[in-house]
Amino acid sequence: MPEDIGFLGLEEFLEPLLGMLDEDSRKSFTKFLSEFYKGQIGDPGEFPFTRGIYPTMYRGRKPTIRQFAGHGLATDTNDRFKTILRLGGTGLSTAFDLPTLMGRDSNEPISEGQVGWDGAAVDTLADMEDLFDDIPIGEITVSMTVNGPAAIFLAMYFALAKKRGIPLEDLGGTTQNDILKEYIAQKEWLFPVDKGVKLVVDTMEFCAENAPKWHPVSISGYHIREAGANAVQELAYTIADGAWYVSKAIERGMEVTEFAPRLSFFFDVHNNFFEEIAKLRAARRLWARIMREGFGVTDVRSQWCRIHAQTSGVSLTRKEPMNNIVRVALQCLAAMLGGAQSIHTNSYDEVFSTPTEKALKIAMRTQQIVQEESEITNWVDPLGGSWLVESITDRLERDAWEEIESIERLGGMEAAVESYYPQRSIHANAVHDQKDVESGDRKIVGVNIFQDSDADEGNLEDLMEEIAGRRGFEQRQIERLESVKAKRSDEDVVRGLDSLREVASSGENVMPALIDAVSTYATVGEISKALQQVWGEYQERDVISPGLSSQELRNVTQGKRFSKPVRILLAKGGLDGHTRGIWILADLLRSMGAEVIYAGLHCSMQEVAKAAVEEDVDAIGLSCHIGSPTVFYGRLQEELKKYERDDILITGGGIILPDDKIVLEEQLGVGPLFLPDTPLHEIVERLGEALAKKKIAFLVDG
Amino acid sequence: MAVISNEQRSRLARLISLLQDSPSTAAEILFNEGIGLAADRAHVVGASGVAGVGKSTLIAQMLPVLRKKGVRVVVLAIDPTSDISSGALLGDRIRMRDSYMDDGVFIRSLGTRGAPDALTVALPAIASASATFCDVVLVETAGAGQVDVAIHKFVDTFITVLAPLGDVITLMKSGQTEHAHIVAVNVRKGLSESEQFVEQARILLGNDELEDGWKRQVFAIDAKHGDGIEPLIYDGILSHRDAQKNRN
Repeated sequence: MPEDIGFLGLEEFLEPLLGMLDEDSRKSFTKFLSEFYKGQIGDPGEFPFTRGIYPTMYRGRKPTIRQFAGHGLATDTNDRFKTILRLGGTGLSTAFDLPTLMGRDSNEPISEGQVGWDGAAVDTLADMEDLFDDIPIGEITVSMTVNGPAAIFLAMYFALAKKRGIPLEDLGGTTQNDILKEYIAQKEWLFPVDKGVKLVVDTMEFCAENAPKWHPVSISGYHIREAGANAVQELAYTIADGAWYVSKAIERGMEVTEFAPRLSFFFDVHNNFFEEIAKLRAARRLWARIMREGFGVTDVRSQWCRIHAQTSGVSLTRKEPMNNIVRVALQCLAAMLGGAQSIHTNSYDEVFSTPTEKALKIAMRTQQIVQEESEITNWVDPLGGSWLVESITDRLERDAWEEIESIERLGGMEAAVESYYPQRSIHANAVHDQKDVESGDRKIVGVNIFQDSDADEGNLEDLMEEIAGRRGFEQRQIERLESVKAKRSDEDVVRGLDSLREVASSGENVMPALIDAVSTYATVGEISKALQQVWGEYQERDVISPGLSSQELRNVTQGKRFSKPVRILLAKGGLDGHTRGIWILADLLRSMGAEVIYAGLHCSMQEVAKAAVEEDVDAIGLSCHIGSPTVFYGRLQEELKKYERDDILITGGGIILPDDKIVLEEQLGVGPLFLPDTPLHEIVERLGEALAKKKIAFLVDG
Repeated sequence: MAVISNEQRSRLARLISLLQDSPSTAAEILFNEGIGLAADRAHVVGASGVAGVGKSTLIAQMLPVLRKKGVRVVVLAIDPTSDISSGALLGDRIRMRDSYMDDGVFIRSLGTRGAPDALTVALPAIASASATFCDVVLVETAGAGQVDVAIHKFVDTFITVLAPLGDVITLMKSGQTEHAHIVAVNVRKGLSESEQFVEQARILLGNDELEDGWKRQVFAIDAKHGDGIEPLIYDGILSHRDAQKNRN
């Protein structure tokens, strides 16, 4: 940093003014400006890192192209990994399927319809061996997107390295392992909040001592944003989560400089171009200040907010899906102008399922075009000093700081999560955003403006083919699991799980015991259950109402209500945690005089059916966003038959592809089914029609 | 182990709806269904307390303990019906999810539907009907006001669930504990105020003799962590049941 104020050409610009000042005033004025710049913005690579963590940024190193991939069995994903490397990917990022993310085995009833669906199914170390077969894990960095059971998969990865004779200190990569945002937003949890955080700190401690190149936690705002948060909430909760992990690690007795340089962050890049750029800049400044001023850390690398950015999944549309390519390109540009260290660009077909190979290639090419052809990498923080960008950065930082202080007043992030504060705030914002879309205040091309009645859903043939190929995953994986179990020594497994339980109850770091346990080919489900026996389980035990006003509800219902207290059970299919839709519906239906029963997350279809029977409901609203809808609805019907209650109306919706919708409505007689963009008033009307047709209740003016 | 069959489950569920939908003909419905005052009907337990005190969580913790004794349980969980919309969000069952797949447990959520005292319409009839399908019926009132104790008239054992807040004397005056066979204080471990409250409650409320000759029992429980549940069930509920049986 220069002592004068020449950095922005300001000295010249201000010369007429400076000339009017005496020597002392002149000195103090230039000093003020210089200090302001240093404190608030700073050169690239200088505190507070607003302009980037490295002095040369992309001139020195372009962002890593890290595409998230995974589907089917480990061997299928291994093939996809090799494709990514062949196309020029510079890092790998593993997507696991939902049962794996929830610490369940592929053969559990709750896993049905989801095995290999939206990520790779991994039950044992044998699958981890397949996943990275022929991939040089000592050289390439690997990211694993998993949270609740992250420690188990990290243990598997370390066990794999040991088997291959690769020292742990050579391993580079990341486990997402950010449990706080699971309780806040994504809902893939296993243990009570304090135990979840303890497990994260265990991995931080173990890595600091044994695998210093591993990033044990990627503190993630992505899922918070995708769940409906705004940019300020995304920033605030992410930074507050990070600060909570740091304070817990310090409580454990770790030196900040031992672990902080290995913390990294993961942000969403949404549509509002300049706000998203400013958000990444504000994140770096907030983190640097918290580390330096809050935790008193002088080590620069411990102050860095290293950012992985992913383009926004929820911003993509099902209508005219090819338009998503353009959305992704703009978001990718924002991520780079914001100074991200690695980027995932979404594939245009991700609104339907995990990407096809064709779409994946376009997504990667998008990054390569921005990196190589636009030449923006030649300039470091090209928007630095822009009045607009700096002022948005300031505003975001200030507003996020206020929110972080609210969290602190609640007693820190664990207490805040247990009081559902961030969950409620995000939910309220999500509802607000949805209203903006419905009213047209927020514009989405092809959806609420420039609609084209002739527009098709894009050419989904490739996708249908890929989905058809998935039907067999579950059976193959269950067979695979059985054959692994048949070959292992049950005695070793029992011994491994016993000592894991012992270590877990002692409060010691469980990582070494986990590595031993996975090495016996104990399954993820067995290990999760062993830990849950000691630590307990987490469940969200309340419905978080979006808090729509009665006027807002009336706008949707047009004052209509049911002619009698209709009883409706709202449930989710499988392990998926997308509750926003059914919670809004819960409020809406209640306002229309219905008795709404909610069974909670993560219920098997057996549980849903039993609850529906006991509650003698008139209708079941089943929402599914991940997994095979035909499996969920089909199983639910079958279960209801066992109680001779297949008369109950089954309705619902979520992510259902056209072919499946036909099967469900025409063959199974399920419906009406609502796709994600369906306006609320339409849901109310069609549900009313269906109930009337069954002579259960009518819509009346009330 | 004793279970409630699929057929019984469907039948009871529909019977409860019938009673709720036409409470004025409840007696007739029960008669037609052949449900009278059978001698071996289940023991009916009512739990009351202010909103958020931990009633549902307590019941959730009681279920596995009762099931271990082979006791079949019907839970009737009452939540408030909105007086504006007449709709309701019935969410108590979420807390009992560990028992969802238990064949010996039946959970039914009920809206108050305009009934007073944090109860629901036709509750006596619904409780009688439920009592012919199981061994213990647990009725949870909607978050009650300070004097919503009318439930004691419809149950065999009445439990008041309290938070260890304020002083016990004020509490006695409020009438909340007057009819309670059992007082369950939902404490938080390690809080000395909790311990003091329980001690005071034991001295001031415990051992009062009620009309049926039962001496009121005070239990400290930690509903969230499942502590103190077994004494509440064995020395409280089940022993009250036995005492009543012997008396008859």
